[in-house]
Amino acid sequence: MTETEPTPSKIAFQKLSASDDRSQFDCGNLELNEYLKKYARQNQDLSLGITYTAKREHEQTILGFYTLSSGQILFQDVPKELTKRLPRYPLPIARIGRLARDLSTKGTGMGELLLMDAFQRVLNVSEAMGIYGIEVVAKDAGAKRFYERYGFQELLDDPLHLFLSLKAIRNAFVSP
Amino acid sequence: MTTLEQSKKEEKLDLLLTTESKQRLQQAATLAGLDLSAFALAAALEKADALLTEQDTRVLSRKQAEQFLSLLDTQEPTEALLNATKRYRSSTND
Repeated sequence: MTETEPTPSKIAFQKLSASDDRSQFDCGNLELNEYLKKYARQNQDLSLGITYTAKREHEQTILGFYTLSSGQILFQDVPKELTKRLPRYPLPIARIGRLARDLSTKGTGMGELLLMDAFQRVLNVSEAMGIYGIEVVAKDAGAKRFYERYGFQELLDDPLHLFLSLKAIRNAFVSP
Repeated sequence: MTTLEQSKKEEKLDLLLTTESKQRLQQAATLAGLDLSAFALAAALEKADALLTEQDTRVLSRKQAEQFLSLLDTQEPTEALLNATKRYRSSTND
């Protein structure tokens, strides 16, 4: 956001609805554009993931979106004594998929706001559902660098699946 | 899932296939003691369940599991995360 711009209007995040106009959205990635246009609603109806959109308040243009879904972590070849000590096993996690912002918002930090909204939503349900971490799939090196800034880390031999603990997120959100 | 399908069959699925494929399915169905349609449905559902489980489950090796558990204990947010939460608060109406 440059200094010369007027005070920007607030951003509102909402669940994708049937009446949303998805035809104009362009994040520069054909696959993600197609996802929003063709599959996001379908996946929502099939409970495969909920899509949330960002718009300026009182406006209809979709500036960005992300998909949230639930998942779980299973351990292979890990002794039972270890998994028994876990509060829950398999470990429930949340997954953020397909986060994208419209090209028109480039340089305004929209991607960051989308990610924070996803965090806020996961935090809201984490107590009730016992969610311990968030997984993202970074589609390329650029996306990976973006997520790493906020603390996401990769695991051995799997460079594009990144994880972040809910504890760190909670601490960030409760700090004044 | 299967019992539910059986109790309430209201949908229809048409598919085109070659004579050869149909014969193979028929042979396998006979082996399984099912009629062709029941066999095809059961097989497709089995595949669907496997895919659906796969897409929401991440299986970690022992080393990855150790990394993952220590990662979950990370309490300290990064500077960027802290700043981002503040910006989020001032950019939204919450």
